[in-house]
Amino acid sequence: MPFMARNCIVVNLDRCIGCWSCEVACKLENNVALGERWNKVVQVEPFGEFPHVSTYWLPTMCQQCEESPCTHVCPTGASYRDEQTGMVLVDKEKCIGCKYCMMACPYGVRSWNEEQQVVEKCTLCNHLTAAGELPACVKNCCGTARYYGDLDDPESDASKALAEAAPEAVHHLPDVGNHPLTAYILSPRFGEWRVDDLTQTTSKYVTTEGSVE
Amino acid sequence: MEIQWSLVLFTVVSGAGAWMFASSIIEALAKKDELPNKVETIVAFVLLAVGGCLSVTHLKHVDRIFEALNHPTSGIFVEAAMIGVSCALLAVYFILLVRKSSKGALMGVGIAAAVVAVVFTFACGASYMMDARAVWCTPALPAAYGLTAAGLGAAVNLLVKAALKRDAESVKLAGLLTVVAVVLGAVVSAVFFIGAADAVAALAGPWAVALFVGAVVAVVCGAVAWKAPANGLVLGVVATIAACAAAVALRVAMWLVGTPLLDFFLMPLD
Repeated sequence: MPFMARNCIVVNLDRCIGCWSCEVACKLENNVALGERWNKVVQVEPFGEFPHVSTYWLPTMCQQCEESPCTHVCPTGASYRDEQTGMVLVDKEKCIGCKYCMMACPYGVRSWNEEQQVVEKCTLCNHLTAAGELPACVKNCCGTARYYGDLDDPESDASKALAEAAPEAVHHLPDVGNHPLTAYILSPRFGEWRVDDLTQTTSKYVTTEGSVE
Repeated sequence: MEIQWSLVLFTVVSGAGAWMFASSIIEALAKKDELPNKVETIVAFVLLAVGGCLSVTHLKHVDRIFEALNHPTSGIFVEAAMIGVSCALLAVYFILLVRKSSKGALMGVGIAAAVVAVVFTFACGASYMMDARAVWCTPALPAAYGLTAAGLGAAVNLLVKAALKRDAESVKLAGLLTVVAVVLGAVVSAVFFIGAADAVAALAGPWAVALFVGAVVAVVCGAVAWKAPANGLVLGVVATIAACAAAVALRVAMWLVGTPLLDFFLMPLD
C-alpha cells in the first residue's frame, strides 16, 4: 500500500557523543516507565587493533520499516501504519497483549508497558510532529546528531542530512526484508560500521572478533 | 528466549485432538475399524477446545479479542479460525452420529474435520516463521510442529482404541500409525535442530535429548502394540506420555533458541 510519507529519524553517528540525552528526553516526553524504553543508546564496544581502534554509540528505536513485520503479524491491527504519515504506530486500545509484534521485530525495539499490559514503541513523537514540532529526542540532542523528516521530501532535515553525507557513510540496520527507513551516518574516518557482525553481551554489543582488552 | 508455556500447551493439546481424530479417520478409510464413534469425537473435540482455551491464557486483554476481526490474515486469526471450524465440523459429525446418518455423510464431514484440524497443526508452526528469528524461519518448523502433534495424536488414538476394546486389527493399525507418525516427527525435528545446531547445543540440549528419548519410547510402544495388540491399553498410556513429552520438548526448544536478529531493548516476553 503506498503511503503519503516516509517519516523517520536519521542519526549522524559522526556527531553522536553518547550522552544519552535522546533516551532521557524520550522517557520524559512520553512518560516511559523505569525498565521500559522507546529509545536506547547502545555502545558498540571498542574494536580493532591499536592504533586503529573504533567505538561508537548507536541510538536505537523503531526503524519505521517499510515492510514492517510487526504490523503484518498483529492479529488485531493494533500495530499499523498511519496512511497519512507512514508512521508505524500502536493503537493501545486494540492491543490484546499477545506480544507477537515483539517477536517479529528484528531489532527488539518494542517495549512492554507493564502497567497497561500493552505493547508500546517510538511514535516519532507524533503528538509533537503533528503540530509541526520536532520529536523530543531530536530537539534535545546536544550533538545535533538527530534529524527528523520525510525521506520523500528533499527539503526535510532527514533528507538533507542524507544528501550531505557520503554514500559510503550511510548505513541501515541489517535488512531481512523489512526495509528499515531509519538511517545512520558513520564516516569511515570516525569508525567502521559493524552492525552486521555484532554479538550481544548484556546491553553492550561487541563484534564477533571480540572487543579490545 | 523465554518459554511461552501457554503457547506450548496450546499446540500440544489441540494438536493431539486434531491428529487423534485424523488417525481414527485413517483407520476407517483403511477399513480396519468403524468411523470414529461418539466417545472418540468427544475426546477430539475436548482436546481441541481445551487447547484453544489454553491459547488465550497468554493474552493480557482477552476482552479485546474481537478486535482480531480487523486483521483476518494474521497467523493468530487463521489459527483461531481453523480451530473454530474444526470444532464446528466435529460438532456436526457428532450430531450426524446421534441422528444415525448415512456412512457417506459421516465420512464426508469426518474427513473435512480431520483435514482442517491437521492443516491447523502445521499452521501453528508456520506462524512462527519470522525473518526476525532466523532459526525459526524454516519449513522444518511447521513440519515438526505438525508431525510431533501427529505422533501424539496417533498415540492418543492407540490409547482410545485400546480403552474402547476395539478389534485387534484396529489396535494394530493404531500402533503402526504411532510408529510412523512419531518417526516422521522425530526426523523433521532433527532437521530443525540441525539447522539451529549451535543454538540448540548452547540453549536447549537437554530438551532435544528429551524429544528423542520420548520418541524412542513412543515408537517402541507403538511397535509392540502393532505386533501384540492385547497390551494396547498400557502401551497406549506409555506412548501417549512419551509422545507428549516429545511434542512439548520440541516447542520448548523452539522458544529457547528463538533469538532475534538483534535485541536492543532486551525486553523479556514473559
